[in-house]
Amino acid sequence: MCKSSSEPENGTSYTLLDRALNLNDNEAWQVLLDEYSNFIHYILNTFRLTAADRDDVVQLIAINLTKHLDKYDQSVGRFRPWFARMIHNQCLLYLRQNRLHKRRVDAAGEHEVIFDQSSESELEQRIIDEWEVYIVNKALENVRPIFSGVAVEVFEMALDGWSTAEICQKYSITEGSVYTLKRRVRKELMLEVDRLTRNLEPKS
Amino acid sequence: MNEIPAGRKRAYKELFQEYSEDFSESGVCPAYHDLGAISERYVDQGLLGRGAVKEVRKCYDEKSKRTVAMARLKEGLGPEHYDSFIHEAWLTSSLEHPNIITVYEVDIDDQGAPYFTMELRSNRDLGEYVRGDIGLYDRINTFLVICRAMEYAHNRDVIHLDLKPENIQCDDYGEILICDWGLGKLLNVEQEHLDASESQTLVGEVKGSLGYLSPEQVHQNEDKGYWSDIYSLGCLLHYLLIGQPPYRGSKDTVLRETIKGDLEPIKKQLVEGGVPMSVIAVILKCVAQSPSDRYGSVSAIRKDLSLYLEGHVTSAESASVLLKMAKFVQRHLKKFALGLVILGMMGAVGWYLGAQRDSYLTQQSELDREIQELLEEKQVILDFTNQEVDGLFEKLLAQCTKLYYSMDTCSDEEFLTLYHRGRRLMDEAYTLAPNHVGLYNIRVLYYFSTMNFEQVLEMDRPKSTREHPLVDNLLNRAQQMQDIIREVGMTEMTHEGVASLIAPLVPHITEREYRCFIFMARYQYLSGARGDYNEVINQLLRMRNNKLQTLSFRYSSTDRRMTLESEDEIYLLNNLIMSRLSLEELQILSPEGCFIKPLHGAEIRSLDLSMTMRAYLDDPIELSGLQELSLPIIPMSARAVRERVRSTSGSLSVSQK
Repeated sequence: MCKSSSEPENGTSYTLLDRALNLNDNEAWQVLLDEYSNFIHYILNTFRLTAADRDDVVQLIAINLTKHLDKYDQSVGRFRPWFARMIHNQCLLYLRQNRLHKRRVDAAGEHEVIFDQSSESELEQRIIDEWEVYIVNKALENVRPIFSGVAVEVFEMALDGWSTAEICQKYSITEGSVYTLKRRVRKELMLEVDRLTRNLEPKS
Repeated sequence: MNEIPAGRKRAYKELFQEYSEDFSESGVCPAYHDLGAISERYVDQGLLGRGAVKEVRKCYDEKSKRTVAMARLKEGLGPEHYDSFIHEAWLTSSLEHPNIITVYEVDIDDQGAPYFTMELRSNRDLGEYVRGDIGLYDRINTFLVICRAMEYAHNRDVIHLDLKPENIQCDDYGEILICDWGLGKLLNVEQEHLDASESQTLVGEVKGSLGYLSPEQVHQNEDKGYWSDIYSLGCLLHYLLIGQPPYRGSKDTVLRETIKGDLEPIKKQLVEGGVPMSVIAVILKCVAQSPSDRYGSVSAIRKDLSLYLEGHVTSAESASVLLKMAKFVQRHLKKFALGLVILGMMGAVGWYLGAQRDSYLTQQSELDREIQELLEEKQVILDFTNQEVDGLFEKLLAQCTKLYYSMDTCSDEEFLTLYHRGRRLMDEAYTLAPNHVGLYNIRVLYYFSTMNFEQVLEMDRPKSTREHPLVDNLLNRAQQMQDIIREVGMTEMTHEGVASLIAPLVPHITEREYRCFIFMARYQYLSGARGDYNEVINQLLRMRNNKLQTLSFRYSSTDRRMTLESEDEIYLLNNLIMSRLSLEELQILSPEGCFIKPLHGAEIRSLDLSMTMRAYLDDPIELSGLQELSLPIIPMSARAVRERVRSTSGSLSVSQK
């Protein structure tokens, strides 16, 4: 392996996580927390928490991440289950501490139903699934500007179940072109998913 | 983030699953995957060689996808050899030179044994190269490459101590690699030489290969240093020229002869092998018994040989050349009719002296004076030897060869004079050694280039001749052209006639032959052949560009305008030929471009390169009459263009399209 003789400039060869955890780079921490917060907002929304609650829980989780992410024990398991459990626990904690069970049943409350009816593992799996969807979605948005023309649209249509023939007809292109466009977008997407996970998930 | 529809979520989830399962197998990075999957990096492909302590095997490096040479200690050799083995690898790694083998990797294998890998260009060594069809000049040039690499190593205080043909890789293109630095040493700052004991093994055996080892390496109590490599280089040159080292025979014989160091037998076998005296002198100086009598550095050897190739006197030649030639003249005064020889030889000798100066013709008066001095000197010459005759023959041959090639670039005014001088030297050389292979070859060149095909075909080829691609080709071409001349009963050689003879050959002509045809075309023109020269130029252009798929040549003699068009890069003829067209306008239509340097000195008025992708303006070019220059769009200002393209017309307009 090549041993670098000097610090890389502006962390070019480090992931966001490396910079935040190992180099105490405040800016990197902020970017990282923003990324996590975006996702947590999104997942809490799917749990039907109100906007105010969501903000509180996101704050709690952010504090927890700041405290524990650097102590994240890689031997415990992969990052995603740990992350999911942490979100789940913080939600429960918040809800219990604020006695929301009783006070808000009538107001909004599907969240209790969710928390009551789903098992712990089901909920955590749901968070993991959403995280993965979130990463792919974000990756697709990131690669979208790389392509001109209809490449990303063709790729998305295929994801949405359109047949190749239908896509050919819609854009007046050949099957070969559809195949090529899909392959190119997929390759960039995979690279971007890889980049995002390396930046956001500590290695297990 | 907006809510994502359930269907799309499923698709994303699947994509993530594919990513997680195996990122590298997902088709995104197949090469990355393959690289990661390699478990056995080196695949053995057989033994290349085995030395005293190590063996070298040919291996395929699966990771870097190339064939390498892998060195390992011989089986059974334990840790006492590890460090010296690793030091060899490190020493070799420290030498970064195109003609010294490159070490790729030095490491320890799973069993804990050290190994290193190196570049492998060819399985061939210098021995196989020497057995090929290679002329004297190429052999010496190969040796000069070896010298340059050794000069580099010595400058870094590294000595090889085991130079021999087996340690020099040589590929099919004549590329040289000096290998096996196993006995090599880095002399440290205070140490100018190695202690005597360092060339022995613990049991007192001599390290290195007999036949190429210096006496001090064979002797057990003398110091070794750069001078030891210089000795081995002398042996290598000996080998390169006559296919064997200076001393041969049983181990004891070679040991004895090496220590005795008698140079006479070496000299004798080199003379018998037809090696020129100047080169023999170089070898003898390298293999002198005492290091102080050898060359002081590799660069001194190289300089001497370069001088020889350029036709000068080498420092290893002690006697005065002038004296030697004068002796020769005197000898022939006795043998032949006085007047004839004086006329012939004075021309030759006088020219030889003159040729050491830059211009061939401007030194005429000085030449006359030197001939006069020579005539006076011959009065005091007493004896002569065969060796000196050989020496003179070599010089005549070298000079008539040099003259032939000098006509590639000489002016029209000089051309015929140089030609006649060259012919005369050649004829004089012929009287001395009619069956010499090198002379035969140059005679083929001279006669062929002047379209004297009959003579080319009539000459007896010396029996000792090896194949010579250029001469072999020219003999075939001469036969083809002579057949046509006979069939159509061509009596007078007009330009149209020359063009019609060349035309069928155009697609087959190699680059080396091409210059003979250029010579031919110039000779015909300057000797006053009649007819339309344009067709000759057309054929020569086609010949120069005969590797191109397409070439269209349009020439209008009324407008003096020529257009050359091709899909590929076009090569122009030298202005010495092109100028016959008195071109005013030249247009190049080629996406690849056209290297315009050959036009240097042309008197064209308009040059249109706008339909090319590249305009080669790296070197300054003089186009004195140029008024219009059209270029493609290039990142160069009109002013910068004017600095490169020198026109004295005063009104050069540069446009970019």
